[in-house]
Amino acid sequence: MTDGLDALLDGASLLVTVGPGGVGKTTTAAALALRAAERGRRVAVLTIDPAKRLADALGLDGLDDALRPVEVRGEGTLRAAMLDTKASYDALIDRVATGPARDHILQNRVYGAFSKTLARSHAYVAAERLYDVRQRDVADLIVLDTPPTRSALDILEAPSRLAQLLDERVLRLLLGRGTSRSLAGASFEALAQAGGAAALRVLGRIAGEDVTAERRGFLEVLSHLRDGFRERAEAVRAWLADPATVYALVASPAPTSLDDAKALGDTLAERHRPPGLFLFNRAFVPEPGGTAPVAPPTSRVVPAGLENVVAALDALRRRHVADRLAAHEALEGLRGTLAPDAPAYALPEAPGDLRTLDALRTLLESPASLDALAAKAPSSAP
Amino acid sequence: MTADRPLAARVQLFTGKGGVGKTTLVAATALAAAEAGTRPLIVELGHRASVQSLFGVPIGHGPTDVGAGVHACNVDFDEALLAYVVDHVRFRPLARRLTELPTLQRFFRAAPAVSEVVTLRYLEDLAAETHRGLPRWDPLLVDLDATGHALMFLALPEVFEGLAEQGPLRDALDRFTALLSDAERTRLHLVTLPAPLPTQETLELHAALAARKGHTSVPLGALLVNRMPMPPLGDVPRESLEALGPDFRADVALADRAFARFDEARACVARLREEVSLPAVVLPEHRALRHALTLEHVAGLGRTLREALA
Repeated sequence: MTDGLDALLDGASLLVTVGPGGVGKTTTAAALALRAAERGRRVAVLTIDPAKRLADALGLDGLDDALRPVEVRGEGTLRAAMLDTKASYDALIDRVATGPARDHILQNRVYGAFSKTLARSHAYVAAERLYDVRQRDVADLIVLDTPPTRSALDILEAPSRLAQLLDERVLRLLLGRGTSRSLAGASFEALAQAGGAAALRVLGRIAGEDVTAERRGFLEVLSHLRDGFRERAEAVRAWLADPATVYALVASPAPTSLDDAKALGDTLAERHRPPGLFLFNRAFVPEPGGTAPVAPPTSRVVPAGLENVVAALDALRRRHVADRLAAHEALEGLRGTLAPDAPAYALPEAPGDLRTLDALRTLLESPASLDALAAKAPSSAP
Repeated sequence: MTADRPLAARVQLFTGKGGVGKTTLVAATALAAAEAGTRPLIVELGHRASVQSLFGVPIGHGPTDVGAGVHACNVDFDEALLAYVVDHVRFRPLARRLTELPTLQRFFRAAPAVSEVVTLRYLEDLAAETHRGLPRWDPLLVDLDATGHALMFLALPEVFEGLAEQGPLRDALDRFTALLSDAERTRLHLVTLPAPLPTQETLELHAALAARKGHTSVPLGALLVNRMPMPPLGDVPRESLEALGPDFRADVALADRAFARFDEARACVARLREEVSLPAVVLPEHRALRHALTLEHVAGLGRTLREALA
C-alpha cells in the first residue's frame, strides 16, 4: 500500500508540502520527514508556517532558527528547523559578507525594515535556507512546509524576485551609476534615455529623500554581493523546477478545503509542477469498531421507548453519509489536477494531538487508497 | 461612540487563521449591512476567487456591483501603484510610462513594502470616496490575509518608524496610522473556529494585538467563532445511548465521536469567552454550508451577526 509513497520518499531530493490552512500540513510534513529518515535517508525538515507547531509535533522544546537534530530509529538522520525571518537574514548576511560590509548592511535601516516582518520575506528566507541546507550537505532530502494556500506559492516566486531586485539594470538605475566595473553592461544609456533619470527623481519624490538615500545605501552594499545572491537564487529556482522536487498536496475532508486544494493544485499544474503526491488527511477513523456506518443495521430491534434516540441516530448517520458523499465528489474533481501516476492516500483521523514521534509514525503507517475510501462511500444516501 | 457597536465602524478588517471562513463572514457582514440600508464594499487583497464564486460575478480593481446591494473589489498591484505614482507626478500619462518601464516594474515588484504601501493607499482612497456629500462606501469590509501576514501588514508603519522621517511616504504612513488606530473609524475583527489549534492561535493573536500601545494599536471589534457544531442528537442526551444494544454499535460509535467533537468545541468557546474581552458571536455550523455556499445561507449568518452585535 505504501510502495508508491516510499519510492517517492527514497528518491526525492526536495518535498514541498502545500495545502489550505487547517488541514494538518505541518504535521504531515513532519511525518513524511520522519518516515524518510527512518527508511535510512538523511533528512531535514523546514517549516515556514508562522504558527510554531512543528516543535510540539517533533517533541522538541526550543525549536528555533537553528537546524536541530531529532532522534530517529535506524541509520538515517533527521534535522528540523523553524524559520525565523530576522535571525535568518542576519545569518545570511553573516554568510555572504564580512567586516565593514557586514556591519554596513546590518546597520542599514532599509535592511532592518526588509528583514523585519514584511510579507514576502518568509519566502525569501525559505529560499535562502534551502540553499544553505543543501550547501551544508547534511540532508539528501529536504521537506519544506509552506504557509496556508494564499501565500504557499510565494516560495516559487521568491528566487526570481530576489534576482530581479538585484538585477543589474535595476541597481544601475537606482544607484545612478553610469559606469562601474562591478556593474559592467551596455544598457545604461538606453535606460537613461527611457526615463531612468526621471524615474529616479520620481522615486525620491515618492518615498522621501532619506528613504531613497538609505535604500541606495542598502542596494549599494548588496550590489557587491549581487553575483553571490544571484547564483543562489538561480540555484534555488532550478532546484524548485527539478524533477526530483515533489510537491505534496495536503487536504482534509471539508468540501471547502478540497475546493481550495484543487485551486492550489491547478495553479501548480499551470506552472508545470503538478502535485506528485496527494495526502487526504483525517479521512477515516482507523480502529475497526469505528468504521463509519453507511446504512442502518439490517437486523435491529428498536427498544421500546427509545424510538426518538434511534431516530436521532439515523439522522446523524444520514448527515454523515451526505458529508462523505460531498467530500468524495470534491475528491474526484481534485484528482485531475495531480501528476499522472502520482500516489494518493487517505490518512486516518489521529486520535488526539500528534505531539509525539510515535504518533507521527502512525500517521503514515497504514494509509488507505482513495479508491478504497470511495468504495466505502455509498452511491446514494439511504 | 462605536465602543459597543463594532459593526458601526467605517473600516472593518477581518483576520484569522487560514480556512476559518473569513471571506464568508466578510460577505455575511456585507449582506447584513446592505439589508440595513447602507452601502457596503468588500475589499479583497489579491484573492478574489471565493467572493467571485459566492456572488457569481467577476470583480476587478474598481468596485463592482455584485448584487444584493453589495459592491466588491480586488486590489490590482499595477493599478494601485499607478494611482500612487500619479499622486506625485500629477500627470497620468507620465506616471503610466514610468510604471510601465520594465526596470522600474522589476524594482517595484521586488522591493520590500511597496505592495503594502500602495495597498494601504488604495484602502485610504476607498474610505475617502464620497457620493452626494456622504461616504460612498459604508462600511468598507477588508478581507485580510491569514493571521501572520495580516500582522505584518498592520505592522507596516512600525517597520518604517525611524526610517522615513519626513516626506511623502512619512505623510502617507502617518495617515495610515491615524486611520488604523482610530476606534471611531476602524475595527479589527478576529475570526476563529471552535477547535484547539485555531483557538490557541486566536488567543495568541489577541494577546499580541492587545499588547500594542498608543499609535501602533489597532482597535479590536468582535470575536467571531465560526462553524459551531450543533448538538449531535438534537434534544436527545448522550446518556440515552447507553440503553442501546450491540445492534447499534457502529451508530453509537459515530455518535460518540460527534459528541467528543461537540464537547471540544464547547470547551474552546468557553476558553475564548473567558480570555478574550471582546463581544463574541458564535455562529452555527450550517448543514448546507458544508456542501455549497449559497448567498441565502451567508445572508442568514449576517443577520445573526448583526443581531448579536447590535
